[in-house]
Amino acid sequence: MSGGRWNALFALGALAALFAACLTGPSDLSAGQALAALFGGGETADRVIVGAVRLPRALAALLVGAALGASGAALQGLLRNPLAEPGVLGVSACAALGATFALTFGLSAVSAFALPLAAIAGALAATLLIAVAAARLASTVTLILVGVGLSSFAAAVMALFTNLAPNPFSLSDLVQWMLGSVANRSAPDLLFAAPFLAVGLALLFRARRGLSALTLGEEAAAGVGLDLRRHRLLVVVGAGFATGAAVALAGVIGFVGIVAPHLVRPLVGHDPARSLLPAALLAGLMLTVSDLLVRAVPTTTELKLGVVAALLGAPAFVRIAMRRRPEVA
Amino acid sequence: MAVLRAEGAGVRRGGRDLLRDADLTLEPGEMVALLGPNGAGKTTFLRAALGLLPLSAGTISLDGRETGAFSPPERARRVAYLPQRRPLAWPNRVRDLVALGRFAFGVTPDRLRPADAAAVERALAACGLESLAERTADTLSGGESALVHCARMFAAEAPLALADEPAASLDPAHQRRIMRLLRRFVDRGGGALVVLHEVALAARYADRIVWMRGGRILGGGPPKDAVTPEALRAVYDVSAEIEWRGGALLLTLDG
Repeated sequence: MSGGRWNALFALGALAALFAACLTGPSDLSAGQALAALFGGGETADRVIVGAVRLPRALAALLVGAALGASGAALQGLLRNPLAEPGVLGVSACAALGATFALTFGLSAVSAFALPLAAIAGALAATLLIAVAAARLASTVTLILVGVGLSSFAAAVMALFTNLAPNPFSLSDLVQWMLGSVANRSAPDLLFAAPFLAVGLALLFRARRGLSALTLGEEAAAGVGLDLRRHRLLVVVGAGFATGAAVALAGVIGFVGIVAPHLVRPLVGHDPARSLLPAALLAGLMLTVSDLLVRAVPTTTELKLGVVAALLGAPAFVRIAMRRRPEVA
Repeated sequence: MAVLRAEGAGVRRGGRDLLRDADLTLEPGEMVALLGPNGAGKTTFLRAALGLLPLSAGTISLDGRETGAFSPPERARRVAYLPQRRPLAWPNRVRDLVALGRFAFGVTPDRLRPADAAAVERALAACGLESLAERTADTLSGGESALVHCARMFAAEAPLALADEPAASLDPAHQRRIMRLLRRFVDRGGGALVVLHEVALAARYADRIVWMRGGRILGGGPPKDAVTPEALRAVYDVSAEIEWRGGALLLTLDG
């Protein structure tokens, strides 16, 4: 099966998952009712349930997955490492730091856009730092270490926020948000994140060809005509925008950015350029289905998407790390 | 025509001169072997010649224009480069790896224009890789892998090629095979600058030998003039006896 067919398959799967999400929930809707509501017909109550509750939530899961999948695939190509993902550069952590800042200092109570805006500001600040480092540093290994340092620092400041939380309610808000979820996302939330996501994905797709060249190693990639520094900047800034938008929508959701590209790679001849689109589609599909499962599991407190993603993703991460071949010399 | 010319080229990094006052010209139709001990500045010279390292003195130009002034794809279409370290990140198909040699022409391995696809096929055929074209890189032997990297370099069909130890850690048969491929590239009008450690291999295939040591170019010439006991002592600190049998060099190191 060629890359195009896999793309079509994953896209169809994602559409089916979106539709299934429109059908699933406490009030029973038939496929016909849901379809009618989707296209602006049917009863008002149905249109509200589908258009204002179920579809935005499912779309949020899909977009967050697509952003993380594409970022993961691009960063793996850039860093030439199957274990890379937006988390390794510290972008996710800094976005989360921005969001927790907004929660801690009550900014999110002032305006609904304060939290996503703070998350994106955090992601962009981290991206800027990483981009400056990327332009100066000769080696990507050092870049990863800078990212690890940035992640640790962001985690430390978030720990400080929870430490100093003034009352149990704000502590609960913080912790709830940090777990990662797409529950109760609305159309305005989506519209707010969409431009950042679009810019990020556009930059990542522009960097595609260079990711293929990096298969040969940085030295040979420069030899075949890749401008290494400009390309690194393109990928890092693209991943920063896309990840910032994802964290703004759903909080930190780990591992899908590693697992989806890993599954896709053998299907497209291991070419990082060809992995980008299917990794985005598959990661979107995976998160949409995971969110369906989260909603279907009958627990008194709803499971968080981020928790489920980590529970499934972390063992997969360990498996990928242990089965990793040494570099082909 | 494509002529690479270094004049008084110097590279300074971290307070040390890695390359000093280097003069060298590479023209189509000749194979120049760059020889010298480890740390002599051979790789630095290649990287500076490609504009990948900034010069601290002098100039290195391609057809009269400084190599650093070319855009990376413009330069890559004129000079192909085979680096010393060749790590592959993913187990790609051999054909796709060779196709990356066409990167400077704006194509991707899965979407080659007919001209690019034809160049890839020619490079595969020249290196005898047709039967391996669908194999993945992680299944290749060291010798096969070296051939794939050579094919990737030739796929650019650039007039000049800079190869950094193309035959390192290969068995004698593969070494000769790689050198014959480079020789054929030169005999068809290409110009090759090849870093080597085997003096005998250089003497057998190169038109000209250039000695380097301590960041400087010490001199050189056609193999029969350049390879002398005095030169080997000056470059490598070794005492050697030299005997020519036809075009082949026999080298006996003392001690």
